[in-house]
Amino acid sequence: MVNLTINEKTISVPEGTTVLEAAQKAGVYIPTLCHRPELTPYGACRLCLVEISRNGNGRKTVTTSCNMIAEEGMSIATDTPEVVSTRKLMADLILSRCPEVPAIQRLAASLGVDKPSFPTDHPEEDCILCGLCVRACDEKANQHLLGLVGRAPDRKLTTAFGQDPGICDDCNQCIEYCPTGAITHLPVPKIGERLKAIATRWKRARQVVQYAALLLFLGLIYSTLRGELQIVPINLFSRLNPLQAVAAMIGGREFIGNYWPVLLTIAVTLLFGRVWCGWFCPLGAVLELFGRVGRVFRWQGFRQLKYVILFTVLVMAAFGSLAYLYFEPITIFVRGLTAIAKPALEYLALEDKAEFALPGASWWLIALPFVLVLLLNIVERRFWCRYLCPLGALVGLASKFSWVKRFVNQKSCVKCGECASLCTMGAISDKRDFTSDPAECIMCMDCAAPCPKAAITFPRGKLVSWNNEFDPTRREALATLGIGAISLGLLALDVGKVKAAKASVLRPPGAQSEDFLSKCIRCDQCIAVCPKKALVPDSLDGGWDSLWTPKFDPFSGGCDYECNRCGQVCPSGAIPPLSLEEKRKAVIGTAQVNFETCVRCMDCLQYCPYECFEEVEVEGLRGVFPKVKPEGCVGCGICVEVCPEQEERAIVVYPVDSVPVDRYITHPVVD
Amino acid sequence: MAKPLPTEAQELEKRRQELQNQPSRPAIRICGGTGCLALGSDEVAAAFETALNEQGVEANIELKTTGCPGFCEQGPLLVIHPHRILYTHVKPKDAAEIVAKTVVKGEIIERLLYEDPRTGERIAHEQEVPFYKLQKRILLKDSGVIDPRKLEDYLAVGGYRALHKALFEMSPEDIIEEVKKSGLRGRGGAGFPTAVKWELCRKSPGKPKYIICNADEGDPGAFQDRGLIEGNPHSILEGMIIGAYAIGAEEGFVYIRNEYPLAVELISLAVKQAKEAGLLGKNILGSGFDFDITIQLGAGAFVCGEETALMASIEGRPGEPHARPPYPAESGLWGKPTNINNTKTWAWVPHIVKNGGDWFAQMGTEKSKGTTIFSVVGKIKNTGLVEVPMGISLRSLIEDIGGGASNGKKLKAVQTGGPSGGCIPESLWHLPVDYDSLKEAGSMMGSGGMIVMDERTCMVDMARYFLNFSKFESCGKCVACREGVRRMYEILDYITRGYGQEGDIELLEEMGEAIKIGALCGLGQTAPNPVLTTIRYFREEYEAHIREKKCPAGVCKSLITYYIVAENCPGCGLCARYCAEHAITGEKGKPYVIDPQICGRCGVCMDVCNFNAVVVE
Repeated sequence: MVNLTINEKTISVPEGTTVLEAAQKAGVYIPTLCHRPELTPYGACRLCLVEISRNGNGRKTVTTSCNMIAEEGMSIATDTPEVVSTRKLMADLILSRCPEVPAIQRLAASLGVDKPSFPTDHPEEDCILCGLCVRACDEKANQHLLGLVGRAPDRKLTTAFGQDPGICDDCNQCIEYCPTGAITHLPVPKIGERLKAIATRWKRARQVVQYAALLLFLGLIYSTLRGELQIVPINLFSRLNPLQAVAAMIGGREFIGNYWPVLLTIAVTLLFGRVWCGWFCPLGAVLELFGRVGRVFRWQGFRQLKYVILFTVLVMAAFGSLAYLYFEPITIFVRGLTAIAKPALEYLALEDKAEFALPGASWWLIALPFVLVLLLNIVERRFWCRYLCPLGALVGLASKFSWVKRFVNQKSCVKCGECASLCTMGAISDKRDFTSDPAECIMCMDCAAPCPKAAITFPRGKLVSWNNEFDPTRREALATLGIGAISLGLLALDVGKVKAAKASVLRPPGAQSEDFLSKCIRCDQCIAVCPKKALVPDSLDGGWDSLWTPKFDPFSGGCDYECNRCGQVCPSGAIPPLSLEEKRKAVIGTAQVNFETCVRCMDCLQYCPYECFEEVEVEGLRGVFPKVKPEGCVGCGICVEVCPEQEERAIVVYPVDSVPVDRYITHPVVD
Repeated sequence: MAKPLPTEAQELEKRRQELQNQPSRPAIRICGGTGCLALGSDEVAAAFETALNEQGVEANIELKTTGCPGFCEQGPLLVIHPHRILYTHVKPKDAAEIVAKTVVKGEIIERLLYEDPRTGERIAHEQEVPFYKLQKRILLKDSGVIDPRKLEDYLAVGGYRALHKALFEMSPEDIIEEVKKSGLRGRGGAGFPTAVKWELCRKSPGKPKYIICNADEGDPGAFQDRGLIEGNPHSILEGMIIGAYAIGAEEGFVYIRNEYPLAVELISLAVKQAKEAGLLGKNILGSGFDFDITIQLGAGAFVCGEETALMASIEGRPGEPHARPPYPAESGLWGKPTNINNTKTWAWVPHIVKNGGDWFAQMGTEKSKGTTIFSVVGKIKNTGLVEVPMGISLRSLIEDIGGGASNGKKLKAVQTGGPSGGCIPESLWHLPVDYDSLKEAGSMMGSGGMIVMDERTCMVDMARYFLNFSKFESCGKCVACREGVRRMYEILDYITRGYGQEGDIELLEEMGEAIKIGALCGLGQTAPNPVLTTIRYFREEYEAHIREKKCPAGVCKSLITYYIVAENCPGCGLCARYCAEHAITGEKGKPYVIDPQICGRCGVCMDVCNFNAVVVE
């Protein structure tokens, strides 16, 4: 053992220990840059300088500690003014060479150099010629391929004669040692190319899948709008959607077999993490197109809000309301597209453009969430996905258990922050060594190829991953309870007038059951598909939890006798998938003629496919009027549609149990 | 010594006796050193051969091409023995005349004699010339006398006598003791006691041991090692063999720069001759001691003069230094104990062994013993290679031996130690030349280069020049040297171009001190010396550059203007004829004018003007 003092602290170390190691053992920090314990000391960076005086010899020398072997009686000072100022100049010189390398910037800052004192002609330079890679190649890989060539002015890292030996890319051991990331930017040899190529391939694959999914989605919406339902999985994205499935099943208290594709999503998520968001979600594909990347928004903690939204959706579903599926991304996108595309298609189909009438405010309102999501995206790219999306929250929670996760090799990472600056989700935390919360990482793999250290991989990880940056906490649970309670209160208020109003809303054919609102996922695909505009989004008429649910409004058009598409597209079965025969018999409501405004055109009688009108004479009124026969009317509203327009149309379809009592006495006309 | 001498040793002594007993003949010695060679001494030698043949006296006269006698300024040099008549600036056409008059008749040809610039007197004999008179030539004694291509010549002047003594009359410990007694310090510049180094290496465990002769002399303006090798290569070999015997080494290397073709040729030839004569190889002179020498050529890197870089270079690795410890004595070439000394250090060894340590210790000062060789160059009259005792004052060296300023201008400073050394101003020339005084003054001995500067030398520009050298020669391994020296150079470059700022001087001082502390090897640790010493002694010149944007010495082209003083200009037009830029115009008989827009600031007008009419500001 050798005894020496470091900053007046006596320490005993085994023979052959370097001064640096001894200092580390004594808990004294000495900055290093070109040193790794497992490689031969090199002494190039001059940052580990210390002042040494030996026993009985008053002479003090300043020398590097990494390659100085501790001797008996040595006295080391690591923080004399001379040492500190020399170190500072060295840091300044290194920073002046590579002013844009974050690892160097941080190191320099830690030694009191905030900006380089000297100008540089090559600010992109990132190799500090520390020789770590050369030593790694010699000592770790045993290849002896890399070398520092040339004297000071044109010293550079290369191979013998600048020839690429061709095997560098198979080994890549040097990459881990490079303190700046310059190793993968060399003109010769190309190091890390293979790893980057793999990462780029995966990224490209993802982009292909993502845009294919977006195109498919748009295509499906287009088909829906055109009423062409022959494409079998017309509501595929809803049926793949675990949030819709879970909420609808909880809300409707029944198993909905139609949602079986959700199992695929769950399986993929448990295998590969939040790939739904990064690879498949069409809304995500759109949101990825613009907005600022990285972390810009000040309150990153609000990411947990999405869990609050998720839990609130589920809590409310448990109480029978699916109202919070307003926040479901696929429905947001469908509603947004429907709101815009349906009038647009209608306009295009019209021969006389003057006939076109813009829909009212309540129509446009269904696109509001979509517009807001797009606007928020300007704040930060994928703002929605980061902070609000309950579907993202759901798959994110599952991703904590996923088989494959993003991994950052901390031995290699130089904390350059390149990945964080590219992350569309802002999932990568500079405060957590550039790791990411698996619930935030959407496995887009955009960060892997640009990493100069090839330190980012997506290996099979440990299955459970808690203690991540944005794990839902007790606060989120409390917030969920709070919002749930308020919503329940609102639901409980839902008596009297609102209840009556709700009851007065006509629903699509077959959807007359009490629990319609517990099953309707507010996707408005029925509205999109309805050829006659008979289905429109409800405004607040039926209470807040009826908002944007489909309302049967015969004033815009009656229910097409030849159409049962709304039942076909409904993913949750809120509108049952009736056959055409069944649909024709499904009762929506009952029509009633207002004799006071009836112009006696008899169009209703003529057009009613059910032939449920009869001609009557009305006491106190002159002439023959049409009257709905009590049996046979399903409330399809075709009569309303054809009833001539005036201030108040003469025929109204009422819910079955709230048909007003007829004040007039009528007599059938006898021929 | 009870043991009878081996036959090999006896034979060598016999051969020496024979050589020494040969009747001495008049001899013509022509300097064949690189300096005189460049001035055409090979043609002079050929002309003499012809002349001797033509005049039929070749049998009586010995014609020798020797190494450098040191007086390079006056080359080609010719000395005619036995009277040592010195002829300077000899041309081939002079050969016939010299042979006819001086050699045959003993007449002296006045016009070829050296003229003392101070007295105007012509001096006939070498030993009377002040340049030689004031020197104490021991190492260089035989340079210029013997033919470096002939082992016989070296034997005749007592060469390998010391080896004989070392091998048969002394033990290795005795030799080290003798060297220790002498107080010999390394002649490479740092001045580490040689005996201590040898002892360390001898005691260091590990076999085989190596010794190295560092002849990688890369300083601009220094050529002592070259001169020594070109003049007397065997003396270095003898020193190395004795050193190897004392240390216990089996193999030696002479690391010599490839830019010295003649020296390389001569030392290689000497090694070959020594091997043939049984002075190298197995069983040297029958003593049972084996030692061999390999010549290793440097590839042009200044940094390879640094011992660890030099060894890396011999091993076939890039010439980059590594940290010490471990010192070469513990772990040198291929990890084996190695002793590395400068050429001049090795050359001293035979003298010390032959004459004893006490004899050596008489010379020089208390801490710096013996003599040392300088190559004195620059703005002085007698540039060349001189050997002076340690402790001689700089003024005596420069003004008496060097002959003072070459062009009547005032001498300002001397740069010692090459790019690693510093500038010593004229006011400090009373300082004795020894390791410690020079170090005290901020400079260093270095390997012995000495560049004298006059008032027309800009100290900022000079510092910039040396830093540029260090910048290019830095191996680039450590940050301090690679980046730091480069940055210091950039600041100096800015200053000389007129972009200097307040605070630059302080920044340079601060950086210089930090680099001195922080650099890995001697190159970087000493590279700021030229800047630090010039700031120390010539701060006002820096301030003039920075504040007034003026170069007091009139050197920095961006800061100066040449103009013609009308009163002094008779209008001869000489300057206009010389001006390459055609910047000078005028009419004959009337004052000429320099157009500063066109003027390239070369200064030729000033040099050619006979009326001091051209001035620079």
